[in-house]
Amino acid sequence: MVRHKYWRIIAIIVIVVLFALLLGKLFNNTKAKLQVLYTGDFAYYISKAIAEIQQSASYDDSIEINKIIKQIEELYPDITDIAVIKGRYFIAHTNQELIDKKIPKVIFDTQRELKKKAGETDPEKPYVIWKKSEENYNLYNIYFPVEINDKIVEIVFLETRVQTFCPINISALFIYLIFLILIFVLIALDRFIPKFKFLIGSVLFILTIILIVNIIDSKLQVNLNEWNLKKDITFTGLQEHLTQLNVGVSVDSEPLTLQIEESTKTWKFTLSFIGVLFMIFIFTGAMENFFETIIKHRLAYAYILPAMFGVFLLVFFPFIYGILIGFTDYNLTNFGGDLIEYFSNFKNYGFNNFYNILKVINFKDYSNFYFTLAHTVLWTVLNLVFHISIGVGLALLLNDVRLRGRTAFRILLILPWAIPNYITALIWRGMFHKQFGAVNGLLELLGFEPISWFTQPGTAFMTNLATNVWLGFPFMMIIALGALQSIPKELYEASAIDGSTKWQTFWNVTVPLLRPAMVPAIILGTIWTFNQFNVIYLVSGGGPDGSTELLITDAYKLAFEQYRYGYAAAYCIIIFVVLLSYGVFTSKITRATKGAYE
Amino acid sequence: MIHRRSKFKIFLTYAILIIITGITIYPVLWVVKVAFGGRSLLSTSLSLIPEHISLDNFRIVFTQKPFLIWLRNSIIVSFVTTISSLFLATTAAYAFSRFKFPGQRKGMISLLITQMFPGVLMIIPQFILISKVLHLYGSLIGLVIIYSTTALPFSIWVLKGYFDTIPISLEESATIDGASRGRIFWQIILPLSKPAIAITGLFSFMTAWNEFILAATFLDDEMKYTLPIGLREMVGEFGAEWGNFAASSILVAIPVVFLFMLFQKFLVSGLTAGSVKG
Repeated sequence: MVRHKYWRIIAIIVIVVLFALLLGKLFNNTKAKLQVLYTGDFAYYISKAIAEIQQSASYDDSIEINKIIKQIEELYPDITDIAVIKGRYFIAHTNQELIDKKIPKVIFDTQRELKKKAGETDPEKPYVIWKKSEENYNLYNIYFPVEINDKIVEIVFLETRVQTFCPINISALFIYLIFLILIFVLIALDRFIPKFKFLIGSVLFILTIILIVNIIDSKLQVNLNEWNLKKDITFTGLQEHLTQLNVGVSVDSEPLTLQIEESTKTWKFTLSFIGVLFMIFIFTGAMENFFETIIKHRLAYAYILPAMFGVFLLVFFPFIYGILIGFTDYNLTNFGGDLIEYFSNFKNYGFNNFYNILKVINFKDYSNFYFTLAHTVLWTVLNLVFHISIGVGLALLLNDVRLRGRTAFRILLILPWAIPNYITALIWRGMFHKQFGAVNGLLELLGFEPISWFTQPGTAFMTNLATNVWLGFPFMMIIALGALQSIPKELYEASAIDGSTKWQTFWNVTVPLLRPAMVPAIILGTIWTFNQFNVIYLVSGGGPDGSTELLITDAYKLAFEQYRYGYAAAYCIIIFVVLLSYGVFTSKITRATKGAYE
Repeated sequence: MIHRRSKFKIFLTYAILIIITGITIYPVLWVVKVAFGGRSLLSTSLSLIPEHISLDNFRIVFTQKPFLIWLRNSIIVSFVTTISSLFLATTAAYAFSRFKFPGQRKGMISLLITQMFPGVLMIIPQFILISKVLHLYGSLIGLVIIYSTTALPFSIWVLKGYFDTIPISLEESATIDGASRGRIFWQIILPLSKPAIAITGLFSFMTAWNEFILAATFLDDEMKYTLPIGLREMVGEFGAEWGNFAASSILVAIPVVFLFMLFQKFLVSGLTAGSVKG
């Protein structure tokens, strides 16, 4: 058992190191590095624009400034704000793409020449005139001398990098999670933890709180009043969002200051709230019990932890976040906006999406929600009727032991299931092609006119239906076949001896015994068909005019073709509610019928 | 023998089976015809034999399209997904089947509920998680991470159902012989549940091999495409290269169909073992 001790020591060291790293990440400001000097085209063209205006106008501050602002605004509609202070023209923008562009060679050349003229020793290096690093932010004022209008003017790049209060970043999150998993694994592997359970539990809990608070409260107010900017800029979120670049033209080189206020109100509130909860938790002994349970069942939890962790991170978390988005008006331009903001003004926005989706009932408008819902229900019902009848029918035929070539038939019949369904969908689109599709070929052979399948709602629906029936019956067939094979022969013999007809045997022996296997398959099949994205998207594409759109394809198009994320999320929530109520309803029904047969 | 069947009935059974099987495999054969039909213009002819057989389409797919790169991407994604999701699913299913612990029932039910989550609702947050948080936009690792978890709930349910059918007495005698939980799991339970593992592995593989929406949303570089997006491009809005599409879909479908046929004898036992018990 000596080996065990080494393990323990190694584990403890790893945990301590990780813990130290985590603390370091949580409480220390990682100094932002000054990256390659960029801003390029943007600054260059602005300086040119300014130069042109300066050439054409007489020197009058107020008129000139307004002209410049107007022109810049026309040129760059995505500029968020323009400020003018003491002869500097500042343009604030946060468009990362523009920031990322490299400085064109022209500017570097001019700069190098000018520096040479001024007798600089190292003209290759752009010079940072002024730099300020505080606990939470770094400012860099970078001046490039440029020649405009025969005068040497400096272009100023004021780069602001703001760190959040207690800057949480994703590496900290990951260290935290690894730490968490390690603790669980240790609990699972060993018995020494119970002694320290309270200590470890407390550390974990405090870390969790710090993490949560950081995520919730990583917000900073940057006060730009001094610059006469029209509005303050709030930085939210992780480090990558926190770079702002201001470009301006400077006449004098006196440094500017930037006021940064931490919004500590929510932070303090959250902290005290969680603190109170924590105290209650400890005093009621809930935590004692909590860790008692975990330790007692540590093996079980260790087994399910990896899977549950993945499911929570990538299924439940996105689901909850998706639901939150449903209450916002996120779209392409404001995506990722402050969720707390939305929910503190819940009255203003709140249920708007749902109201807008549900308010108009119109079964003639293809883009209307109720039309799509009706279409989806019809689609699901028809598909399932075909799937079950064909599937069960074939299973009954194939279940006959005297049948020759059963295996061959079975293998050929499950072919549609085996082929990737996007390929199936695309094949069927080809089969229904107007000029060379096989379906029209068959019609011509029978003496009918070829049909342009995808231009009429009804025929387009039939193409989808044919595809999905072809795609879906093998699943039902296999399930039914499995259930049929498990029905004991004696039952049939007994039923034959009792003199019942074939029909009676079917209804009284086969159907009740098929039911337990078929019900879950049908429920699953319903959900799959209801959300059958691939067939609709790839066969008819929802056309013509969105008449064959399912709720799910509609939602996808809202999100990824119209970029109405909030609206699309609300749409999905409604779909989920419909499916959930179906699930609850069927589980009640099946429970009721089950009772009747037992 | 219970009933003596009339010849007509036997004939009818075979007729129905043959007709339905014919309808079932016709589209498949149609694709084969188009694939081997070379570049000749497509016709409405129902015949399944192309007018002249040529391998042009296959040649084009291999030489002028990045088909091999897509294939490599798909293989990487599918294999990694299968292995990781099998590992996660078997361990979790074992715990759900064999241990009694608080939250067991809730855990299983919550897994079932995830099956009702509309996928589209989750794409947006998953997209944020993968691209903004993990910085894996356009990378295959991001896809693998998502695929291995989306197939999990289904796999866990199937595997749990199967594990339930393995008698506990086996484990008890192993415990008496001094085997640890881990050994029981690896050396007794896993070898005994081959059908269910084969089926869940197959489904994980097929999820990754066939998935279309997420891949279309997450990948932007043609060199990183998996097969579904690559094939979709061929018959996309701007050009319908049906011949090339048919050739590559045959190439894509062959491994899956092969695997499927290999495992099909497990389909019934693997899938229904848990549920038939009701």
